[in-house]
Formats: sequence, C-alpha cells, structure tokens
Amino acid sequence: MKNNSLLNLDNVTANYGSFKALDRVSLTVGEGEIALLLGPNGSGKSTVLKTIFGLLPIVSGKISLHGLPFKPVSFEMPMNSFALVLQGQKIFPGLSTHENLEIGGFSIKSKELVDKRISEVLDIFPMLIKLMEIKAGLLSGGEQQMLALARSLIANPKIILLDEPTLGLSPKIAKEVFHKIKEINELNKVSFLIADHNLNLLSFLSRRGYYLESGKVTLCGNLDKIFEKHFLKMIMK
Amino acid sequence: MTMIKIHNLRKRFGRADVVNNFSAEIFKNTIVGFVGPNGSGKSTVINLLTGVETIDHGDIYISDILVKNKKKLINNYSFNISRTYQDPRIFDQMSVLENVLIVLNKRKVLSSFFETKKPFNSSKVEEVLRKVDLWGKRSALAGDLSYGQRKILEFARVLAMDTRICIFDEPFAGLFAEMKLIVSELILDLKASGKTVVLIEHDMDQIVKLADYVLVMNAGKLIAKGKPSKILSRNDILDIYIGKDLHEK
Repeated sequence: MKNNSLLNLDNVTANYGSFKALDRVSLTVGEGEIALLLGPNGSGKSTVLKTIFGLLPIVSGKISLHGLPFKPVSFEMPMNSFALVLQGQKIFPGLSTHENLEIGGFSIKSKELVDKRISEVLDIFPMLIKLMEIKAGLLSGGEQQMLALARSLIANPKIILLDEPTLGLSPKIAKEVFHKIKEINELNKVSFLIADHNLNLLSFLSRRGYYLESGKVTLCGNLDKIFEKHFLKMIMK
Repeated sequence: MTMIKIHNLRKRFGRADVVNNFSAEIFKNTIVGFVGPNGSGKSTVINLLTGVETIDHGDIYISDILVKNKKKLINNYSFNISRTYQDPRIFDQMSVLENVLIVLNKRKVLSSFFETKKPFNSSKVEEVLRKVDLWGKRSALAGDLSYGQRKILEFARVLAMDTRICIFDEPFAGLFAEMKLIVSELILDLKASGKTVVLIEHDMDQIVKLADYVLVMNAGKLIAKGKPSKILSRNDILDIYIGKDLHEK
C-alpha cells in the first residue's frame, strides 16, 4: 500500500479544547482505494475526516499527499484535490440544485470549466438533471445525498472524505448511494475514506478499514479480521 | 385497547399532499414500526400527532380524547407523549446533565430554576444517563458530542420524561452495533413497563426484532400494515422500499 499511497496520516493528534479527540492516529488511503473508518459513537471517526480537511488543527503528527507533507487549510483543500461530504446531506437548502453544483466549483476560475464539469458530473448523476432548477431543500433525503456527492465531484477531487453517507436514508436509497460511490470509484478512480455504521453495506464497498476507539486506531486491515477481533472484544467485556 | 387513533389525516405543503387521507390505529403497550421511503410522510404524521405541525383535515384521538390541534403546539405534556427528532434537538450550549434535567421541570420558567436542584430530578438524571452510557460525559457540552451521542442524549430525555407514549424518529441512525443493542433493549424495557412505543426507522433488522406490527407509508398514504416479517417480505414493499440486494444489481 505504501508504494501507491495517496493520503497518509502519521501519528496525528488533534484536540477539542483540552479534550484529546485524536491520539496518534496513523492511516493510509491508496490511489483509487476505498478505505473505511469504523468504531463506536464518539470514537473520533468524523474528527479524523474534519482534521484531514483542516477543520480541526493538528497538535502533532503530519499529513501527506503523494508522500509530500502539507498543512491542511479547509478553503484550500479543493485545490489540493480533496472533497469533504459532511454527515446529514449538508446542501444549501435555499439554493437550486444547479447553484449547489456551481458552489462545488468555487475553486475553479473559469466559468466555462465549471459548466463543463457540471455537465460531466450530471452524466454520472442523471437523476439530478430534472431537478436542476428546484430548491435543494425540497429534494428528498436520497436526492440531497446524491446532490452532496455530485457537488463534491465538481472540483475533480482525487479523494473524497465521506461522513455517514447513508444516514437517514431508506434501505433502497442507501443501496443506490453505495452503488454510486462504487461507480465513481471504479470509473473515475477517485479514492474514498468513508465513516459509516452500516456494516453490511460497507463490506460491499471495501475490505479494508480502520477501527477507532477513544480517538485511537486500535485495529486495522482486513474487515473480517476487524469484525472478528471486535466481536471477541465485545464478548470479553 | 387503542391508544392512538388517526382518522383521514391530511396535510398539504404548497401544492403537494404530504399526508393524504392517512388512517391508522396504534394499540396500547405495543411497539409499532413506522416505515417507508424517504419523503413518504412518516415524520409529518408524527409532527401532526405531536402538534409540531397543524392539521389541515382529519382527527386524532389519544386515549379516546379528540386532539384539536388546529393551532400549533398542543400541550404534549398533558397528553403524556414524548418524542425524539430525526435531527436531534438538544441544547448545544448546555451540559449533557442539564439537557436531561430540563425536561424534568414543570413548564414554568421561574420554578424551573429551583426544580433542577430537586434530589428526585438529580437521581433520575443519573439513572437514565447511566442506562445510555453517557454518565461519564455528563459535564461535557452537548454541542461537543458526536451525532450518535446526540441521538442517545435525546433518547435519554424521553426515558427521563416517563410518558405513556414514546415516539422515536430514527433512533438507530448513526449508532454503532453496541449502542444499537443498548437502545433496542431499552425500547423493549419501555414496552415491558407498559408504554406504547412508535418507531420511525430504516433499520429493518431492528424493526423485525422489536416491532409488534408495522405501518408502511408511501407518497403520503398508508399502503400496508401487519406483522413485520410478513409485510416486509412482500414483493411490492421490497420494490419500493427495501430494494434489491447490493450484489444482485
């Protein structure tokens, strides 16, 4: 994995005030890979994604992209080929679907290029075409999640950080979202780092993950091994 | 015995009938699963039932008493209903402990300052926070909790209120396996103590495990009701709600 690694976290520690939210977290996401973040509620999964994206300052440790260390600054991340899709379909409800997609291209200077990217992204999300002029707040939960994913693709990221993409979605829509993630990964070679609790669906996307507890990575590697050790731990408790 | 009776309920937002002639009965001391695709109108029915939205047309009876909520915000407290929301509605600037203490107060601003100090309230808060494994976080600001922990805190407030009817809007969303187990056991405890529980939920494993029967909604209408295992294996329900297995597509 090290040879074609895209993103590396090396002993990253981050705090919320005086509370140590991440404690020497190390992880790797390969080029074109989907890696998973698992763990109990409050274990730090969302915090890992926010820290990588520069929403939480790093206290110690380093983050590197293609082996080159960088300091994450949130508004510069789209230029560094990163996209973050937050928990709970964080779209702009008062703006139209089209305007939401345009915002996804804020880091692109040419209007023509933004329009071109929107048209390319709509090829991946044809269900959004008929919704372009509708206010995003009026879309269903599934449509909003598709819009959030589509928006993250406008700036042509190499890696998408995805927090609970199936939260609040019905089983059928959740499966459609996972199919779309798989399609984007396979066709566009985009890497994903995904935090979710839906273990059945996650195993469809990837077999490699990291298990966090109290801000530390306690297990990593093959999902089957993580599940096995995790359930052993539960039994031991 | 019928605890909640809903008759020909209708609600329109703009030009869309979000709830369209919806009728259902919820029986006392049962767990009813309320399921359906996103946007089918489940949360709106619950909002009408709890007075968050006004009713356009139709009747709701709770313990055979007609609820007239043409005006917003019926007094849920007097109807002995407590509920959670899809997006947890907690007080971010208050501690975890204070978030539970506040629901134990009578609804009077002045007396609420003194009521929080009552020994009964303090022991009740400790009891429920220990049950949901948040006692260790009691001094933390609610705004600093993760999404799952916020859901659990809202759940704890319902436990503390000890009402006859408990309504949970997606209580398992965003929860990890261990926490799901704790929450499902607490829901079964509520039933065992005589409560009526309504669960809006997309996690079908939990619905099959917990619910005595299910109501299925689609496009604002009730399309099926009955035993979970029977209803959720029907082809029409699979088509509109569950979808195909991931590997089949």
